[in-house]
Formats: sequence, C-alpha cells, structure tokens
Amino acid sequence: MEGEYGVPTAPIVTARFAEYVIRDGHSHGMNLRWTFPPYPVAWVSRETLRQYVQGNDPVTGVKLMAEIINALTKPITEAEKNPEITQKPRRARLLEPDSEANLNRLFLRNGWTDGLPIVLPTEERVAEMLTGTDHDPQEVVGKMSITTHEEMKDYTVEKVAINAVMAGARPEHLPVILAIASTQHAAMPSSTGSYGSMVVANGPVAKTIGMNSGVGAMGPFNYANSVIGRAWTLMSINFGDARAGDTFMATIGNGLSFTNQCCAENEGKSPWKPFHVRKGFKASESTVSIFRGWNVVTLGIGTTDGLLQRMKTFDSMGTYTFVVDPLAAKALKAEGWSDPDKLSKGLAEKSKSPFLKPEGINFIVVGGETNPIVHTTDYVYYKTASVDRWIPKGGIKLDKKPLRMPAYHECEDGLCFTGQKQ
Amino acid sequence: MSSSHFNARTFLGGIIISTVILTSCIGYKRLVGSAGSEATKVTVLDPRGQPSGIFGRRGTPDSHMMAIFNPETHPTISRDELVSLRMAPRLDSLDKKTIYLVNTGFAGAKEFLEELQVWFSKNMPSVKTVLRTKGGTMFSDSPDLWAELKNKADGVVFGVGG
Repeated sequence: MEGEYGVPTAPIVTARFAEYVIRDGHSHGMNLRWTFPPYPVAWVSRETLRQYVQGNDPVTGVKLMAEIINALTKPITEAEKNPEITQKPRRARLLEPDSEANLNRLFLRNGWTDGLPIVLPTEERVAEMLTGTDHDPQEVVGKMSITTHEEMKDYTVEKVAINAVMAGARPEHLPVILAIASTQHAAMPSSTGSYGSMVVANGPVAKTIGMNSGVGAMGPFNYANSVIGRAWTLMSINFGDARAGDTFMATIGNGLSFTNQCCAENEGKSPWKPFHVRKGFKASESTVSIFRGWNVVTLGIGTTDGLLQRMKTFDSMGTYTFVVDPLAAKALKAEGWSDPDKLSKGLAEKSKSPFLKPEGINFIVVGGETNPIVHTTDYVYYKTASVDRWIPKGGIKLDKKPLRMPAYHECEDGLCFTGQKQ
Repeated sequence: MSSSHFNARTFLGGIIISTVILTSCIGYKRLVGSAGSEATKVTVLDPRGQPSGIFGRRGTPDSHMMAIFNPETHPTISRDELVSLRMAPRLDSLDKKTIYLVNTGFAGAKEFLEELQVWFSKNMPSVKTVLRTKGGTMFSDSPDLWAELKNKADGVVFGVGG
C-alpha cells in the first residue's frame, strides 16, 4: 500500500508479534509505523477491545490512537526515506574446536537440534556422508525460510550432509535427503497454526535403503524413515532459521514434526499406479513427494461414502490427502475407482463445494493390511522431486552391513498367518 | 617368624597389592576414558544455512499473493531491489479525510476496527471512516479492494495482524 499505491498506512499487529514484525521491517529496509494493541484481540469482550483502543500501546507506552494518527500524519523522517537493510555476515564453515560434550551443549543451546541427541558433524563423518552422492559439496541445493518474507538461507550439498549426519543418517540416505532439500520446502512453517508435514518416497530407492511402507510405516519402526524424516526437521531448523517464539510461531506445535510422517508408498500392495507416476514420473524413477497441513484424523472407513463423510466433517481449506491402507484402496477399486485421479474428480463433484478442485484431493497408499482404514488429512500436496539426480553413478552407497531394524511381517490381502506353531 | 619367611610374605603381598593397584589403574583409566576424550577437542562443521540476500515476498504488484507459499513460483526479491520500497507521503492532518479501516481477516480484527470506528466518530467526527473486510482469507489477494483504496482512501488502517 505504501510503496506501490502511495497511500499512507497504519498497520496494526498485536503486541505478541511486535518483535517479529519490527525485525522483519528492519531486515527488509522498510520502517513501517506499527501500532501494537494488547494480545489477543480475538475472543475478548467488546469492553476489552474498547479499553485497548482507548489505552496505550503496551510496547511503546504511547496512546494507541495517537500512534495511529501519527502513523498517518507525521512527516516522513530521513531514516524512513533512506531505510537500511541489515546485512547478516556469512558464517564460517567450521566451528571452534571443542570437546564433544561442549559441542553437544553448544548445538543444543543454540537451537540447532530438535532436542534429541545428535551425531556431531565432524569433518570425518561429513566426508563419509558425502560419499552418498557425486555432487560437488559446495553446490547450492536451494534456499529456505520458514517465514514467507524474511531473508532466505541458502544451503549446499555439504550443509545437507551435515544435517544428515546430525540426524543419524548414513550415506545411503543422502540422495533422498538431498531430494527433500531440493524442494526448498521447510517442514515447519512459521504460522501460528501448528502445521504438520509428510514426505513419501516412491520408486526403487525405497526398497534399496530399506524404507517401510507397511505395518507402522509412519511410526518409530524403521531406521531410514526415521532419520530421513528427522533430517528434514533439522534442515528446516538450520536452513529455514526456525527459532521458537522468534521466527517459529506455531502456538502449540506439532508432534508430527519430529520425523514428518516419513515413509514410502506401498507400491507392491497398491491396486493403483504409484503416486509419483500419477505426477508424471516413470515407475522406475525414485522420488519424494512433499505434503503439508494441519489435521490428521487417523480412523476412517475407506469407502467413497466414508471419504465424503470425512470431508464434510473435516475443517479443511479445500485440500485433502487421504493416506489409504492397501485394503481400503482395494475396496475403493472394487467400488469402481480404478484410477484415484478419477476418484478425486468424483469426490470434488459429489462434495458440491465450489472451493474444492480435483487436484486438491490426493491419495497415497501406505499400510500393512491389518485394517482397511484411511488417514484423512487436510494436507496440501506441494511437489514431487527426483531422488535419482542425487544418486551416485555407481548406485546407492550402501554400508557393508547396512543398519536395519526388524522387518515387519508382510500380510497378503489380510492373511498374516506365518505357519508358526503356538 | 624367620626373616626369609617374612620376606616371602612381603614379596607375595607386594605382588598382590601391585596387582590390585594396577587393575584399579586400568579400571580407572577405562572409567576416565570418556572424561579423557571429553578433553580432546574435535572440529565440527556449522549446520546453519548462509544468508542469501534474497527475501521471500511478492516481487511485483501483479504477482499472485499465494505465490509466497510456493518456493517454485516464489517471487523473490534481492536486498538491492528491496531498497526501492518506500513509504508514502503523509497527510497534513486527518481532518475531512477518508480513512479506510481494512479488516485483514484475523479473528477479532473486525470487532477491533469497529471500536476504532466508534472512537473516530466520537473524537474526530470530521474523519470519514470506511470499514472493509478483505475478501477471501488473510493470505489471498484482493485487487479490487486495493484499487478502491488507491482511488478513494486518503489513508488506510490495516489490521489486526496476529
């Protein structure tokens, strides 16, 4: 409004976000004249709001209305005419050498971790991690910010490898982690709403590195799923500059953010074309797909009517991603939906919502056929990125004895009997 | 007790004591091994991203507002370009001016701006206030409203964020 339309403006933001917006203005070189009423203004009485209007700005101590009038009428100062943009210095590649205990404490204290123990990214460990790709360590992979407006941080292959080491990953996981990094999406956006994210792998890489797409795929039962999902969180913290209460404002936060529901699609059990094929990739290609939203309802029935019922009762901004057990997918296919894209179209039509577009409804097949259920989410599908471009020419760099957790017992169409005597 | 007997016992005892001490030392060394390695300094790499000089915001007035949420189409703007962002000239006073109060859509904003409107009508009755609620969500664009503001508003109060 100020710059593009030439209209003097008095922006009002609650005091809770004063530092956030002041810092944002400084980093942009735009000294807006903010007014900060007490927080919150939502769900308080009219009398309270009236007192806010008649009272002082708690940040500046100035009468709130005088501040608004000044914002519109006080002549522009020289500093406002010639705003300066804060330039942040580039960071050194290496940290000051110290003991492991002190470095662990430093990482924790500086907010460079997720609060769980990390593997310290020594030069040796990072060099080993970098054997997981042929790409130049100094190649820039992308840039990221958890906010939509602050200065983005750029990151190289080496920076991704550092965070992969910290997450406890091995070189075999690096191509998938690089693919996630290449999307430039942070797993945890700054929004006061508490987003969750999801990353789903497709293609041969999932089996090669031992990802889980079956029983407990989204739970703590698979090494690759856990460390890859965790690496995304660490990258979001360290590249997206997530600092709770400072840049990261999600009021409650989201427990899903620790590993971001990282899993593989159960292509072997799915009656449908794999998700990445429906997004234009070949079945032989390996990819990761990124999703984000607020809500997950973990129990639902996998029929068309059941899906519609979920959609009607679910508070969504017009997007749905259904995570479907293979049995539920087979049930939907038996109802005539051999193509999930047609099912998306059918649901959009049946919902009669003018805001709902077929492309806003997605299906992922995950699960071990122990229950024909559906996880209903309001997740937005953002992007599918290639893993293959990060895989070394010689193939995935597997350890001589790859680390694997116990494999789950596979079921076939609900039949799980192993033949083992009691 | 003969001296030779005493010497043999002393010698045997010495061996036992030495063995105990030696074993203890080894055990101690094992125990302090971690403390010893704590004293050893290691070098680690910095995990943080580098400042890029690129800011995420709408690059041009006609760029889609929702584009800021998608890095693929994210209109980005460099530090140099940001310098061109300037504040508009201010009004001499609000007397007989038209001030738009724009509700951006956050909860409580409309009610707060209504109270603001009441304040103006009581305390500065010469100011004409127009209350508008931006269409769509707080994240969506409202080009029609922006055009109306440009043409009709002498000043704008935007709120309430957060």
